Amino acid sequence: MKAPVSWLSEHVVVGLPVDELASRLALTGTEVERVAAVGVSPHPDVLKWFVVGKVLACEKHPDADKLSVCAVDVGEDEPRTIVCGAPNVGAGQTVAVSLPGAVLPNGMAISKAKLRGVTSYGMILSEAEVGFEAKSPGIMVLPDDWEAGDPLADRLPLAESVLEVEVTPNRPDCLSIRGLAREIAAVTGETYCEETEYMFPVSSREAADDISVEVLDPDLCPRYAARVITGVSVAESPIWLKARITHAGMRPVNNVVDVTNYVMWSVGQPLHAFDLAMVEGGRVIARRAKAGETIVTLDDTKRVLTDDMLVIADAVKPSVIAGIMGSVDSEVTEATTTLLLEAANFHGPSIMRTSGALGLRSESSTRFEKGLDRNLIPLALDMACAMLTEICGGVVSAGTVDVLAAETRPSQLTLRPHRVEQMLGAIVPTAEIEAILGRLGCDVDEDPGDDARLLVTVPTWRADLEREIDLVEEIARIHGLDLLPSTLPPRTEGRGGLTPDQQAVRRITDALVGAGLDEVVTYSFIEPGWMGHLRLEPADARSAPIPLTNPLSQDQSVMRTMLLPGLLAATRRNLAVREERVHLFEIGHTFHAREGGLPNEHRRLGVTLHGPWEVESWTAKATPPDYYLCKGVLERVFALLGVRAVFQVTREGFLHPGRSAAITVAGVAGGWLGEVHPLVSRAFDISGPVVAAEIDLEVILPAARGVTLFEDLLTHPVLEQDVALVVAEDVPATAVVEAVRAAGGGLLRDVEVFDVYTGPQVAEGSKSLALRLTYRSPDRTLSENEVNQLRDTMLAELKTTIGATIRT
Amino acid sequence: MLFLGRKASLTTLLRSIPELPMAERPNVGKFGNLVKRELEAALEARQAVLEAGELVDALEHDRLDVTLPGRTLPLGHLHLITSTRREIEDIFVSMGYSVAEGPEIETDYYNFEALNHPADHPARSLHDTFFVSDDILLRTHTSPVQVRVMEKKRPPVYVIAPGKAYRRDSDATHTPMFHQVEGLVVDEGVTLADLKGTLEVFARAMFGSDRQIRLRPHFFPFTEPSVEVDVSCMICDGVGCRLCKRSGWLEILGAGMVDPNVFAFVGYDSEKYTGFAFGMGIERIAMLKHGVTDLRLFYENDLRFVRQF
Repeated sequence: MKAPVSWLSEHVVVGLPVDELASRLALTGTEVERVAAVGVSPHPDVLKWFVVGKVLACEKHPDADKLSVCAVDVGEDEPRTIVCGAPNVGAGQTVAVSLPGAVLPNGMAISKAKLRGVTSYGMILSEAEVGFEAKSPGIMVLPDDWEAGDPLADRLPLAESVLEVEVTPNRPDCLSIRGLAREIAAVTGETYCEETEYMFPVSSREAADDISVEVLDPDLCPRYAARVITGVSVAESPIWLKARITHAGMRPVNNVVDVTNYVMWSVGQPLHAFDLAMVEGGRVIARRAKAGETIVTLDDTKRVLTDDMLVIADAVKPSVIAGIMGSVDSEVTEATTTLLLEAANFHGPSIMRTSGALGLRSESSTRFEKGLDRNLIPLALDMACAMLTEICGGVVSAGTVDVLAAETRPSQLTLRPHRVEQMLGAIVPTAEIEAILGRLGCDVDEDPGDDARLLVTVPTWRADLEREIDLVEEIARIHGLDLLPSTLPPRTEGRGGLTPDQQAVRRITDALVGAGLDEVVTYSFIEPGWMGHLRLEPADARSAPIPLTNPLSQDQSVMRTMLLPGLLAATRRNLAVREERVHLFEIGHTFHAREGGLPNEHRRLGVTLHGPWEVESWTAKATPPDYYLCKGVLERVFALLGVRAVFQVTREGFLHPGRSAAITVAGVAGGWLGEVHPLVSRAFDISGPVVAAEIDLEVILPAARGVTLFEDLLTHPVLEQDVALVVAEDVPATAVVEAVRAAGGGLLRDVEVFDVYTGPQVAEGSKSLALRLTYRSPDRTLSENEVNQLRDTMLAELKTTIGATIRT
Repeated sequence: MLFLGRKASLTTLLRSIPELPMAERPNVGKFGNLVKRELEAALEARQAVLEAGELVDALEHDRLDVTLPGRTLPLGHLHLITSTRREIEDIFVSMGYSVAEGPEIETDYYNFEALNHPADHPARSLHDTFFVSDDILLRTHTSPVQVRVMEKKRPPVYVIAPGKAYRRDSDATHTPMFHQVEGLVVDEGVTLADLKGTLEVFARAMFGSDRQIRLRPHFFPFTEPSVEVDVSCMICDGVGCRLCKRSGWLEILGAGMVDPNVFAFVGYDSEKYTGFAFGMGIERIAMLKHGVTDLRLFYENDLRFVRQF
């Protein structure tokens, strides 16, 4: 909301410098985004060069077709010669003149200048040149009774300050000059004043003779009032009005439209003027649109309506999308002589829905959608009739056709002053409470039944004050939040802290960072094509991510089911800026559709490793990451959490078929690990191998150990034995280890693969695995003999279970 | 060798003890052994001196260029959002708060309705919401976690809820995904002054012990009174500079007293309990603290950015 200070000053004395006023407003809840100085510099040394002039003579320039040479009286002894290029300049006009020394709003400095051989001692101004409108066809012509040499700034708002105010949705009353002025008065202690009585010529003809109003859907239109004005002349607005409209951020159109906009800005009530000749049958019908009904709005767009949208129609067609925008057909034109002036109240939520559905917002809809005071209507109509008849001529037909569903009366609330203290933690004396509420337009009385209560009557323009707590807020903000003490809550119980899961996530993250991985944060919504790159089976649920119904763009339109694509995209991004070592991880949610209710969300850890692991330096050669490196990273995480994870051969479309493992924890699928399939890397524009993994933390965290209990590993030493087993080449190491564990007996505590051999020393199609077996008893020191026996029994069993022989 | 070798005189002497008369055997043995031990000790000492000399010589010639860089162990980095989130969490955890989390895809009920944004409320238009279906959406703030916490637990409540939020907005100062930390305290006798004191503790822990805060009235549907909170500018110390747009203050969060309507949704007695809530953007806090000038850097995942922190 843009509020010119000169306009506010018509209702309240703005005693503070504008910047101080802005900060006072900010500290009481009205955010001032900026204070804009518009028009000419307010400095007196600049302003003094703008004066009223009289064109005494005007002749064509001897050497230029489009220029005129004027003799202009600017109140000095001699008239000045001024060359002017405007087509409408002529002798006898009263004009606005800038003299050498003046600086225009666009920065142009006026000086004595020779134009095609004629020296010009100033410049005759157009509205656009002083910021009263965007574009002017010619110079501005002033009223004849203005005296030559008068300072122009005394007559026109040459130098204006405009407050650009951000109004919160609960305060539609502040979307008006009067509402803001009232607020300024309340926060500065100044007096607010406004004109409420307006005079205008009224004819003997009744409005009801020419028009009828039918409100078919009073739920969407609680009040509809209309007047008729005959004999108007539609033309350009007077200069002051154009200046106001422009300074308020609107665009001057014609005197009728400008007046309706001016009144809307002033009191906050949108108005709509129809050309009555275009209203078939003089009938105004407020009704829901028929599904599929269309209207071409003023912005030249054809709008297709649905049956929950309210329109204002005549006997045959809809002419306005109620409260939002009119149609081109009912627009006021230069041919218009009779106006139907509408001031109505529409159901805010319905306006918001319609405006949202059509993607069409206007100054009118932004006011209506927040819910307006129905009692503004008579004031707005009176003010508009007075201005229209004065500016456009004509007379107002007697009476208002006013269809009102129900009166709005001021509401009464109860306020307990001790509740103010309970909420704020500071005492505000009752006398001050009464004074604050009074300044906001409330009437405050003591409750005759209970002297600890106040009865507060709230004006209808503050529909946001519905409850006691709303009054507490008003008192807090006007009293001043800076006066509040700083205290801490009483804290009656309990302790805080991170949960074991939250601590575990931090430990995982720290371990990964400690291992040299960099954390990234990628968007939760991704490009659907990325899922297509992953070569998933159509039946795989991960290939059907949840789509957004209103994405910002196609490349952020579905919710990720995996972290991998985002990590690959982040890898590509870094490769593009010539980073070679891209070892990334991310912890974030993935989203999985579910029948009924909210989708399943899983917190997952994703890892991708690309490029040399070690930093190439004088001590180390760069080595590419491989499957086992990534597995080592995961094993580190599992070890840290005390989780036993099983890696088994698997097949995933996005992984190298021979280098991919499924991870199981406590029998539950907990993720995968592998080298990314070269076709997938290529689809993400990555050359060279990428090793990746994803772990479902929802599976891992519950398996993470709780309290670790002491185990006596000190009293009785372990006994280690190394064996080399020969098995068929395709037997996975895990199978061998599991078989060894199963056959090893209770004293076998640990089995570790420390070497793998294939070659001439073992039969073709076989491999040798060197295992370190760790035996330990909790209650005695084991003897070599005992362990040898255990081992031999185990080896015998392994021969049958996995066909293992001992390598000699 | 002369005295201690296998055929040396001392060895011979000691070996011949059994042949001596019984009375002499102890004395000769004792003395002989004493001589032997001393000789051995002297020999060892001499040997140590000689070896030490060799070692010194050897070490003197065995030199490294100690100024060459150390063996590089890879060092990773937390994303600035994570490290800032932890910093915020730790401040509130130290004040006795718990950390709560909730789903990022939410129902209309938790995201809006139970937070006093009824259907068609104009405040909803402030949130450009991403929808999954008519009543399922990407949460536009972390505030739904407030409601979920209150549904599960009776007061007192001292909790913060960090996490991702989403709004349909993308420009120099908005990313469609961002991170917030929500805070909620409900107890008997909690006041707006307590909110002010709590946020003062936070602001000083986060931005330095001489920071001031100020509260400006604002509007949020789920708090009343509602405030925005500014911290005195850490660059100019409140004098006014480019960062704070010459105001001396930087907005860091929104807050307020929990609206009685919100308590009604979760069955808390708003006459008995009062509470405050606050919400801050993690990126905003990180930008102010570390001087990051472009919000979008957080999501570009360029390692030249990530590795700075």
